[in-house]
Amino acid sequence: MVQKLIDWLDERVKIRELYASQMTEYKVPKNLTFPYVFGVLALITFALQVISGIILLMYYKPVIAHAFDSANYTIMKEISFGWLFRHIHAAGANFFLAIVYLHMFTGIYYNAYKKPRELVWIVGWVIYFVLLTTALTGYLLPWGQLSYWGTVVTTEIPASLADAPFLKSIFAAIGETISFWMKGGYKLEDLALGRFFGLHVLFLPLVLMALIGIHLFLVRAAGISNPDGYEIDKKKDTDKVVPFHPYVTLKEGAVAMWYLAIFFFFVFFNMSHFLPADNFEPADPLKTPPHIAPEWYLLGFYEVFRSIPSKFWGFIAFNLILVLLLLLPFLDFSPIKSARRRPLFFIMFIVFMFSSMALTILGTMAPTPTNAKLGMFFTALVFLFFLSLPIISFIEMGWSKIKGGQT
Amino acid sequence: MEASRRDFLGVALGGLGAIGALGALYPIVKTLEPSAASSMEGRVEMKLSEVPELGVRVTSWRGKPLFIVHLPEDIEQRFQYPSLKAGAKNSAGKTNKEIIGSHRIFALEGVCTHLGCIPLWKPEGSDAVKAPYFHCPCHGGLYTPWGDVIGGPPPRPLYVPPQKIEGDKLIVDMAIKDGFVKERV
Repeated sequence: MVQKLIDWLDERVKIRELYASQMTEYKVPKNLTFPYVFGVLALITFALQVISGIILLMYYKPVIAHAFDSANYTIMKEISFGWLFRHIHAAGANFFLAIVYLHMFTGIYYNAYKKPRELVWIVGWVIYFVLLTTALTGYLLPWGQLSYWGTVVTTEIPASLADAPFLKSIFAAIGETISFWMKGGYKLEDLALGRFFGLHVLFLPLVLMALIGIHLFLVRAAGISNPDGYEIDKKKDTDKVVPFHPYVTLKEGAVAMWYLAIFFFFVFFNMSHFLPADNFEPADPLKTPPHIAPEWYLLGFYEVFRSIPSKFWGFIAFNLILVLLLLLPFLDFSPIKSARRRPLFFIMFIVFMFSSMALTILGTMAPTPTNAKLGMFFTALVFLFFLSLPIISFIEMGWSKIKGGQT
Repeated sequence: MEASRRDFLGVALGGLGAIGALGALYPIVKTLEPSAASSMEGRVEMKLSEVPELGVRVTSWRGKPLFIVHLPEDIEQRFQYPSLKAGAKNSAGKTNKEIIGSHRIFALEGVCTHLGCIPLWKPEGSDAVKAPYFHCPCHGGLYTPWGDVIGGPPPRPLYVPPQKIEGDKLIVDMAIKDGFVKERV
């Protein structure tokens, strides 16, 4: 029966050929390390977010008179298992960004952004950016105190441009216009909730889906990088590659099961971090909650912004970090790939990873003068990482010439 | 050796995946089940003293109007009804009055069996029917206070829900099995 169905499909769309070319005859390097699974874990988390999001969407009401109650009564109490899907969606958002960060660090470590994979990196960066926007817009929807005040602060950040030391009036106008357009008025009201809702449930997920499709296509087109940083000729180096199925599918399937086990441990038993108590109080525009800080995945950027004394330069600095990340393939033009073979790059990578983590931790702490100084120090280290890349590249180009142009 | 280990991995992962998919499907289907609030609508409790004699209280049961009728003890002596429409029997093949019997406080579903309008209660009667009766304003269906058809297009009597008297209350609920009406007819 199944055989007949496959035969029927095969005659029409050559499904066996497709399966062979994408699974059993698609070759990947056999020395892929554990961190290479983060891509597929991100994909699984995206699927979880889409499924749980569709279910939440059926009962959520994007009107401020009903938003809080629909999230906290209808979904949490009235609908069978509504709580489960809200837990999955809230935890999933955090896991998604955590996995994407790990995926990005992996890509940086193994230099997976270099020729011929620059486009993979650039599209990946856009996915990261859209993902942050999706997280921000979704954060407002439950209309609790944290949702509301978190969004108030976020929409105020572009107004930092008003602090510019030059062209003050132009920057102020740009900042205010961005902030005004994000909110659809002076206050956060139904208009803002409505457009955040529309972006969060339809536009941004559609964009994400398209970008993820392109990202995967590009990965297949350029081939997966490998930990040693040598390009493998799949036709000649048959001893260095293995078929995607069953080698990678089984390995990643096993890791995916562990990942889901950890994920659902949090969903069932430890949600207080992902759904903090403060957000179970309805938004009150006249009362700011005592603790207000961005979600952990933005704390690094937040700390950069906060520790620089001028709001304008703080704003420029954290946006510049984003832009430098995008430009990574062009800053690092060395012909040698993978931190395994690049001691100087390896040191700077450790500096970068440690500084990012330090900035994130500092972001959770009170803004004392000492912490501000530490924040500036680690901000400087992050910039040092990006600035060191062209220098390291020049040095390594020299090494590579000595070795006779070998990469 | 190599092949059997791989088979084990494949079966283990496939099995876990299948269990996981079933586990995911269960809550997804459960979210679609009727809400707790709507299941509360499946039960009506009405204090007998709240329904005046020769009056009808209208409430809601399973999203439809429910008539709680209170007839005087001597209604059958006081009023004469025209003969019932031939063939208009309820699901039990009887008339409603045969099922309700001598109960003077009982519940009827307030939905005309012709096309779903809500009949009006006429306690004063009219020129045509000189007794209390139900009149459907849409196409002129006429019912006795027990819901049996005495005129107009309705094909069958008004539905009678499962009900019982408990203490000073009339209770209507599909789950009632020991009442004077045991199933919806």
